[in-house]
Amino acid sequence: MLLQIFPGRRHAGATPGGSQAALRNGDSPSDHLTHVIFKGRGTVTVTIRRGSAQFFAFVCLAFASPGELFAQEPTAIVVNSRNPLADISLDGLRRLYLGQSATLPNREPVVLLETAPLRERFYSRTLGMNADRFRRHWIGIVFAGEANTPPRDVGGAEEVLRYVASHAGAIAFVSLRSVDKSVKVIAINGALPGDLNYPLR
Amino acid sequence: MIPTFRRGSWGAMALVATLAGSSLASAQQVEARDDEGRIRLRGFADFTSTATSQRGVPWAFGLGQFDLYMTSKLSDRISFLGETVFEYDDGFIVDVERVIVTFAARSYFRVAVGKHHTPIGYWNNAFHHGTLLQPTINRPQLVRFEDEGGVLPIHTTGVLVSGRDISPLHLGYDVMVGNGIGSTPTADDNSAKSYTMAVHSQVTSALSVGASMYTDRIAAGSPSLGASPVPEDVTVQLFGGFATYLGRQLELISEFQRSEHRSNPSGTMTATNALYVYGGYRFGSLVPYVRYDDLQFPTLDPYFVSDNFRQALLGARYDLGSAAVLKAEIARRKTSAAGKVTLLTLQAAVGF
Repeated sequence: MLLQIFPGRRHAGATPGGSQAALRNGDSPSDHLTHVIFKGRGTVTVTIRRGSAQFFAFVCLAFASPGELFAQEPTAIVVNSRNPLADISLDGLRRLYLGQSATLPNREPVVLLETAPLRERFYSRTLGMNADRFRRHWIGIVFAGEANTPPRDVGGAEEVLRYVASHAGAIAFVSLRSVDKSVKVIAINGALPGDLNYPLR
Repeated sequence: MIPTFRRGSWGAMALVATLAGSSLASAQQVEARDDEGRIRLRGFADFTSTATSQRGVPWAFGLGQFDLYMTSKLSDRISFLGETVFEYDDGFIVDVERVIVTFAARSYFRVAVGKHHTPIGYWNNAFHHGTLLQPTINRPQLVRFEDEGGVLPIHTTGVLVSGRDISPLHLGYDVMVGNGIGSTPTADDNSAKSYTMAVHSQVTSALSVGASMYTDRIAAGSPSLGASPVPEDVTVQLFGGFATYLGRQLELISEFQRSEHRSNPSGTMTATNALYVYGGYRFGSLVPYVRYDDLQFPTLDPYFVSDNFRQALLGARYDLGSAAVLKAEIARRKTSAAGKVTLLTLQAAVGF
């Protein structure tokens, strides 16, 4: 078992490749389970050889507290595939969904999308708000007379991807597993959904 | 479900008339859709109960402002916002608080005409008449509405040019020309116009800072806030600044305004300083908070009534979903006129 600690918010070394250090000669990455067990100001991961006693102990703990030990599917931020935007800062993403910016970093007027199944988790992780608080925040923006438009719920992941694929300024959050080639997944703070330091794991 | 009507539909007017009796809808109304040519309606109301230590003032319940506002996207770049308040002031009255038509060319250039909240400071532009959205029961004394004893020009009718999210510093600006102090929404009482300039920066998604300046002239003979006529022309200059931090849990808002009145031709100058500081910390749906207000007037100001005001309050806010909130506050207030008073206030505020 290898315990790895990546301090700081921008832990550049915290990539899946970091688990290579735990591999024995002849092992493949699939022989091991690498799991993020803490994510805050830094990241702590544990890499365990499948079939070992430690592995079974870990699985038992996971059943005892699955929410803590098993991360959910990463949330991907997607834009139109013709959009040159490849990376956005987490603060930039917050500005968009808080209505503080009406354009994407490349000055494209933004169309914010949301999808109900991921809404609560995304707003909680990104903005520290539950969906009710987020809704009230946008009531305030509209009430203040700002020109920004609240995120629109166009349905499930399929509808979201279809909308993003056909609107140049659209940006949305979807489950990584639902992403297809019609849209482009962008990095957050330089990290893609597969990276350990991806903020929306 | 949000009610929508074609522009010019009498259905919109009928709905305004029946909204008061309707049940509160859930706050699913913020969902966006392509709504060009439709009217979006929303309302706010609040109910307050106040007990005070002041002799002769009984514990009482009170209706707050019943606020209806509507927005409509007239075209891709032109929008309308109207806000009307029904309130009790020696009988129920209807007050048109804001009517704004905006042409938004870009986020960095918008032109809006109508009756606005004057772009001074933070609170006056972030929070309007719906108490649901503001963090405390009442507005700070610094930005109280004119008809509630406020001292600053909270509303201005005129032309506002503004922009947001400019440069990597996320700068914003507001430049406004309006009728100014002593005017009505339909006429000015003198030829001098008010000019407002503000710059602000959304430094991060949580931190914002800004500064503003306002200038106007009050004509000799115009009524002062104490109702007596102003003996000479008075040049008004307001200088203010704010800093806010609205994080995941911590909420901090502070604002300062200095109002200088220079009488002409005598040249006498008086200055009034006012500030408030608000701090809150969120525990889930519960936000305990504190606020301190301070207004210090000069003794012989030609326009203000010199009633110094100092207040510290401790309160808590509890969110009941997105469209309802309960607030409770205990405040200790000291004014020149009433002395020291303790107030206990409860409020239920809703949006629908």
